[in-house]
Amino acid sequence: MKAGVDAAIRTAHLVRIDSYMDFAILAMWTASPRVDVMLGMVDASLRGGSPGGKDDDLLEKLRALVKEGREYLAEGDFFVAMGRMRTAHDLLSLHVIRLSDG
Amino acid sequence: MASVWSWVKEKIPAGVEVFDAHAHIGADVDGRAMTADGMRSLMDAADVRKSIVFPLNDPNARDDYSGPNDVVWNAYEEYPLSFVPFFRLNPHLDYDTEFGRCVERGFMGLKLHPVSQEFELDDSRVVRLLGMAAEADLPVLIHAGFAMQRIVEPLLPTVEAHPELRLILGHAAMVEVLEATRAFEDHLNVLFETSVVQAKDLYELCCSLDPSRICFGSDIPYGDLPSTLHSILAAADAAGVPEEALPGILSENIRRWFP
Repeated sequence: MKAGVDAAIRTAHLVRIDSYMDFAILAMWTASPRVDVMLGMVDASLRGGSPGGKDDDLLEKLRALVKEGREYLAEGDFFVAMGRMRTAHDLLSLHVIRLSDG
Repeated sequence: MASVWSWVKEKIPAGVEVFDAHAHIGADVDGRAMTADGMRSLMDAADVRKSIVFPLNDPNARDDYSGPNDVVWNAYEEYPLSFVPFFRLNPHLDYDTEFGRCVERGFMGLKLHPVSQEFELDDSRVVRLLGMAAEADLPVLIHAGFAMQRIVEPLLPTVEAHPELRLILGHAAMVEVLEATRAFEDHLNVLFETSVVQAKDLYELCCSLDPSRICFGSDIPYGDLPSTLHSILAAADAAGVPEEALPGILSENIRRWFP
């Protein structure tokens, strides 16, 4: 991949995941009956390697945080679950911002 | 979360006594609740030394909010070194008596929530109340976060009319964060508090405003200390905020008002 294309597809992949996290976090805040489905979509979007493998370390961190978040939510600990999801979302968005800066 | 929390602890400069500028004690109509002991436990676990605390949108609030305000005052009396007590009012109702009672009692600030109490920031009763706070030299924390639709335009005339008013913009005016930094940049008595704001919003805040105007908050029980500390520290890091500014964000900027 050319350098510009490489950055673009990495960004595209991460922005996709960011959208699914938005859905899931909003579903948690609004106590949507579909919250588990939304979290499952986040899990799905995080599967596999990143384009070129360059963001794999980040994805591994996100998978761990989302897994913890789902577990806490299932146990009824919304407070901690939301913290995990918010931290995952923050790590992702700041990674995208840094990527845009070359 | 262990690796993230380790990063947060390493980022907090040695010797900094973290000051949380936004937390709640009491109960909310949405079912959330926090006790003084619960708050202290969370602070101890995260090594946070002091927190501004005020009532939630309490289902048992009488018209004047005196019951929930008393809960906060009792928490302060129990833990005077840990809590900075703010009282809460409903600007729609007759607030003069409760305002006077709380100022007389020694409350150190006022909390207003335009979404929960359904008012606009340029409502004449709100403008009057902010003027009373300025006259009493009482800091005011205004919810300027989730569900807000108008912040800067209705608030700016009051800030300009009362430059002495010490104002904390709760949640950093997140939907209008860039516009707010422009509007309030020269109003040095306006602080931007960071609780439960997304790191991308905080990145924009940190890129646009002197860090001496930013203060950390958690919004317990809606936020938690590890994730909210991570948000501001990670955003500041990405924005290139110098390490020497972190003690101000985490403690000293708000501590100037509550030494």
